[in-house]
Amino acid sequence: MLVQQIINGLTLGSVYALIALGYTMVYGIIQLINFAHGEIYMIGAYAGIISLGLLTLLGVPPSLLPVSILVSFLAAGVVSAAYGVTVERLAYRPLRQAPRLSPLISAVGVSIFLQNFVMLSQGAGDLVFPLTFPSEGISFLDARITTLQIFILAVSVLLMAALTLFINRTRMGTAMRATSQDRVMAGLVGINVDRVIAVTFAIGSLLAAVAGVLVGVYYGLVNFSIGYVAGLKAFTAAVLGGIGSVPGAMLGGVLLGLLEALGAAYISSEYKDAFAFLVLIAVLIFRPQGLMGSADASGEKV
Amino acid sequence: MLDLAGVVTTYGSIEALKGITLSVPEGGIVSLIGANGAGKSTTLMTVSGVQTPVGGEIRFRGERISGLKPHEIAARGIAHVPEGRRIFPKLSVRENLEMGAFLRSASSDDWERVFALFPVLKERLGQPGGTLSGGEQQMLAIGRALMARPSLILLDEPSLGLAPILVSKIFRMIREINREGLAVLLVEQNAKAALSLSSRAYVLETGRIVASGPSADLLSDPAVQEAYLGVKRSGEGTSA
Ligand SMILES: Nc1ncnc2c1ncn2[C@@H]1O[C@H](COP(=O)(O)OP(=O)(O)O)[C@@H](O)[C@H]1O
Ligand SMILES: [Mg+2]
Repeated sequence: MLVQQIINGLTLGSVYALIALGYTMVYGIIQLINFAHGEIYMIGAYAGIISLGLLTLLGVPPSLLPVSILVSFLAAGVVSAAYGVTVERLAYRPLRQAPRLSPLISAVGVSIFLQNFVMLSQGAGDLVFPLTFPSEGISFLDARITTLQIFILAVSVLLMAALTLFINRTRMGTAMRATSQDRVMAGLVGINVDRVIAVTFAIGSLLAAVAGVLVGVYYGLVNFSIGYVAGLKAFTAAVLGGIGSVPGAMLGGVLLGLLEALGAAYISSEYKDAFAFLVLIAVLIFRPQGLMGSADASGEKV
Repeated sequence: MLDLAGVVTTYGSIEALKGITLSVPEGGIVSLIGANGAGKSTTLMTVSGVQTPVGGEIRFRGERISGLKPHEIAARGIAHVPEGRRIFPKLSVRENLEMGAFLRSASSDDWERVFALFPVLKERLGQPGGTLSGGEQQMLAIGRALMARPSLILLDEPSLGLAPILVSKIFRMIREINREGLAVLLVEQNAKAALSLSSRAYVLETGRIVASGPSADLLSDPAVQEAYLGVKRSGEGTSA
């Protein structure tokens, strides 16, 4: 039972981590909690479903797993990145010099707008995610890990490793870190700060989109409101790890997933969602800088 | 090379620059002196595009640059070493220097040139910029600017907070990089040192240029001596 809950928790947690990265990277670079990020994740799931529908029309059945996975990831990533970058351009950039509360309210507005937009255009009911993984798995120590769980873990770990390399080893990644540490100075050395911010939104949105497809496949159902709870949980994960810290978001996501799975198994499955918010409250009270965040708010954010 | 004509810059309703006109010739060293709050840093920030002037015009090599974004102005060959150095604290010394060369690919020549000027940076390459001492940070800030291979460098109070021995070292470096053909616009509260380095100077007071001319003339000007060089005139009260 314990091993099984750990497997389930890690699976869920790695998805939280993927979404949390978008919160933390955006916060690191423009100090904004992007409340519309959960909707970007939800839109990724829808884009995945729609792309699979198109694929079926073209005569490729969703059961052709490698093709449908690749296509749904690509479609979700491209669509969500486009949404994320557009939201930044239209709803946040014009408010960059405004008081800090203004872009925050703008973000809440975008979140409500996107939810309603998807509800009106795609319907209010649940959609079935037309992708199923073979049900076999590996059994060990009284527990079972399914191929889908292995796939989710592998994709998440791969993406997080790629992101870490990108941020630490490439010119653009270094420019992102520089911009998060001193935006004015970044401009003075010739970094196009607007472009770096757009790239940050694109990457965060892409990771959320992949998470949207993974969760869609995992639970099998998607609707317009899934971004709300997922967004809040991923935000909790980002705060738990230390908002602004990339490794923090990864750690926070995994810890939150584990906590939820163990809490559901050993305390109460009905209060599963409440654990996340208890964690959020506890962190905000006892360690507002999170596990890996620096105590001084002006330090490095990415 | 750099020409400001009637430049006005505001912070909200505060007019920090009230019509600044000044020029820096190709390859020259020009200093801009004045008391705290006179508008020296604002002048440099306006040249490099961090502040957009609401009046007047800035030209660089004949082309209008006022209104351009900071990265576009940097791309034209203006490097800015701002007040307080603004090293990227969590980037390593190497990454700080790489970011200086963000717009181009640094050649091994560029690295050698910076290490020749500031050998200490070579020993610190892997260290986070924020862990360097004040003097080392100033060298890193200048080194980072040089990595861009600029044709004009804006230096904002490079001597601030440094021990006297380091101050003279930094000023020697400034003379040396100028000899390689780099034009310098130097902002200093240490007016005496600045005036002995530059060929021309401007004196800024609450957003206006109140005196300008060859540095040697300003050095011997009694009004400048009293206000900025700590020389007392006898038998006179303070003038506004
Ligand atoms: N970011 C800012 N916001 C508002 N006022 C500012 C800002 N920066 C400078 N000022 C004001 O503009 C004036 C000129 O400042 P500054 O250019 O920093 O002077 P200096 O560099 O000569 O000490 C001062 O009155 C200062 O208070
Ligand atoms: Mg100043």
